[in-house]
Amino acid sequence: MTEERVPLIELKNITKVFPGVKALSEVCFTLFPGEVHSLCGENGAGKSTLIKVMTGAHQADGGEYFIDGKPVHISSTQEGIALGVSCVYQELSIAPQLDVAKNLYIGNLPMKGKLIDHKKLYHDAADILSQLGMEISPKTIAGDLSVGQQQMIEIGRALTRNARCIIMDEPTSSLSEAETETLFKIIGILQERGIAIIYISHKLDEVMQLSDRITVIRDGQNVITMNTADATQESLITNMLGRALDTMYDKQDIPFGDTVLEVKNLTSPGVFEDISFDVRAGETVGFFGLVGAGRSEIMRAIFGVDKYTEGSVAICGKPLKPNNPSAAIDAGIGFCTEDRKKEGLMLKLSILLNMTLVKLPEISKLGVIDRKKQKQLGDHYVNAISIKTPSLMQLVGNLSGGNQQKVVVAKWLMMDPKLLIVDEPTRGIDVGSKAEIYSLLTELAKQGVAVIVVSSEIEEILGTCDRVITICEGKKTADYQVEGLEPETVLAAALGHAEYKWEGGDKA
Amino acid sequence: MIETNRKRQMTRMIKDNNSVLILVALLAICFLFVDGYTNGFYNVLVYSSIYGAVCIGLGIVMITGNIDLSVGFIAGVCGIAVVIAFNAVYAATGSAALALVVGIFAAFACGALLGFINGFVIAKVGVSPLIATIATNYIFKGLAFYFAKASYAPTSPDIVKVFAKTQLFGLRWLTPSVILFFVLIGVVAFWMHKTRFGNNLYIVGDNPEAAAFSGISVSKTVLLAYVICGLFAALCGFLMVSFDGYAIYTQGNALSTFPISCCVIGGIKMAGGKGTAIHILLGVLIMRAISTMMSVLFLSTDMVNLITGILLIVVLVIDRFTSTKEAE
Repeated sequence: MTEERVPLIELKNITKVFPGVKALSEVCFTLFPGEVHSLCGENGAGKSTLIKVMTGAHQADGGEYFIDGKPVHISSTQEGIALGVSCVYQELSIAPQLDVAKNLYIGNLPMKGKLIDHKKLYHDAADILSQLGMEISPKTIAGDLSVGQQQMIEIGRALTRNARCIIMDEPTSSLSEAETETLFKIIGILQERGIAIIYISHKLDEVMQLSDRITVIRDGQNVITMNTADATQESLITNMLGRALDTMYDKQDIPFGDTVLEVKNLTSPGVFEDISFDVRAGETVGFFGLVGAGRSEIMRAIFGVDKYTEGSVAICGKPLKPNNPSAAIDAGIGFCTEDRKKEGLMLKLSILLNMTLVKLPEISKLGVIDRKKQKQLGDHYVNAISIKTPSLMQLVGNLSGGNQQKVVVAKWLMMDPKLLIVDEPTRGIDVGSKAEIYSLLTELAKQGVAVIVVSSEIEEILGTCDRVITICEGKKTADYQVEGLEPETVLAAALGHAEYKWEGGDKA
Repeated sequence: MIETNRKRQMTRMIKDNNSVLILVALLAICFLFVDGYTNGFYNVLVYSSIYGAVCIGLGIVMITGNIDLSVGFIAGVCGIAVVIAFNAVYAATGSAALALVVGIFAAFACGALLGFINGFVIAKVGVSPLIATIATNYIFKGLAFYFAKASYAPTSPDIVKVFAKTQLFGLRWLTPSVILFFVLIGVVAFWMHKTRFGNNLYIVGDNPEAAAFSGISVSKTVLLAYVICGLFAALCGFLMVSFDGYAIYTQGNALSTFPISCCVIGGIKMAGGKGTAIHILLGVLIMRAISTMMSVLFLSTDMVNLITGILLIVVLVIDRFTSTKEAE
């Protein structure tokens, strides 16, 4: 239907080679005005590289690039912006001390002679804000806005530059439900004005809901471009992986052993209150709640990175020293944190050192590390959980998100944990690695490890856990057996609407 | 695939160690074009061995992602402590050897204490390392000025001078301090690479939060790094007395920016988490090679400062264009 029109952007046989890797190989892509075109693929499939070629951040080594049917050569992002191609990146580039208007017109301030035309600046900014349906003053300081609003400002910035194509890279990864809704509305408005959107997301339901067409790339090559009407989530996954994914989750019936973790009346004023629960060997317990409900904080307190004022934590019947991560590790607790880049990894250091971090005391003699043992351990785990890397000495910062997460998991696997806490284990990870992480967790449970999964995705909790505990405003609101549980019930409890009822502890 | 990976690793290795190339190029130019450099070259090694220790200490602190602007005056104060202790013991017992031992001990005790003060304020109280060590730098400077406004010499100087002034095998460039410096570089290189605490320095420097989540005490590691830095500064203070034959407050002044320049040129990153003892060694040698060039050419102090600054910028620009870009 749309084939008659002149595409806004047309890429023909684009090839991009990095030292040692062919990132893109003969990729073709077309984008029509007013279309939402999703780009899907696993981490490392070449999506980011393709975008960078489009914006001018990278130059293709082969192939042709047309805008409005005319061949172009874009050698910088500035040139790309001038031609109407803008990108809203995952990491926002807001100047937090400046006001909204200046952020909108950064690098492009309206001038009157040699001076900034403030009247026009605030007038135009107000206009852009109303186009975006945002009811804030252009003089608001950008740092005071929510993440969602800041993202809108980025989109607004693209508008001030007369963008005709806006690329959105994982725009909803840090947005709340309501903010996501607003974003979708704005995408609709942009579409009506003839602006084309390239939408990149791991969240396939969003992709299905928003886009007109979907292009899947894998290993730097086109797999398929289809109309969304002809696509299903399953077909997308199959195309992304190059194989069908039998089951995302690998839940198995595992007999429970003795109680591993026992938490009693844990309280930290203003953060969480009177939290009690236990987890048995081989059992997987999910913690569900809204962002900010206090789930991660409870885990941090158990692990000893945060303080608590009342209550107690015991591992296998032995009380655990509070506020001492080192004691927690010695007692057998592993903790894969929510933000792996910030709290989990040393990006400038090698995979090997990152993996063996908590194992170092054991493989050192008089403080001297046994390099041979360390390397053996590293080799073993890289193979065992298939971390894709050319070498153990590779810096962790160069790995894809899924492989980084595997390094974090490997680190805790090495210490043979009694209890493993995983906080948002699959955030920002592609479908294939997700399934691998889930089966890894099942494998651990089989070996008798007690597992706690903290997650904001109900599906993930229901797919991996035996029991789910919901947290609302720092309080435990429910403790359900997962079998036969409806997602709505869990959500209601997490919102604080369900009556509290104790069901746990008598499954066997 | 394997071939290209090896190639990439090679290029990275060269880029991470471009200070070797800078040093070789610098020395080649000096030897070929500067008259008398061959004769003056021993200076590079001897001076490096005197002032190198303080750079090792600072380098260790920098790897943890911190900075110490007070190392120069820690060294200065420790040098003065050597003389005070030496003279007191020598006057009381008449034994120069005993006085020397007590003097060295006093220097290390003093260095550890001053390093501890820095470390405590930074790691335990949480003051920014830049501000904290600017403040302690004033304090240590005040102490140095109070005790050694004019040159303050040991009453039996010969035994103190043995370390920096003896020429072994009749070689001008081979003093005990030179041997000690290279041994220390070797020991520190081993220690940072092979031991748990050495590795913790890098881990804390790269990502303190993740270090805490791995059961490593960040404050303890940083505090200890400052104490170790103080000990190295103390050694430098002692060697300065050994070399000059006296202590004076200007000794600390001379070391105000020199150690940072050495570390940065050698390849220790201000952001932490990167660099080795070998980088420190290279940085010290580069800086001393430059100063030796100046002194061989008999340039005046103003010219020396000017040219050193310009050369520093040239070297850092070269570094900027050849070093590995951080991961995106």
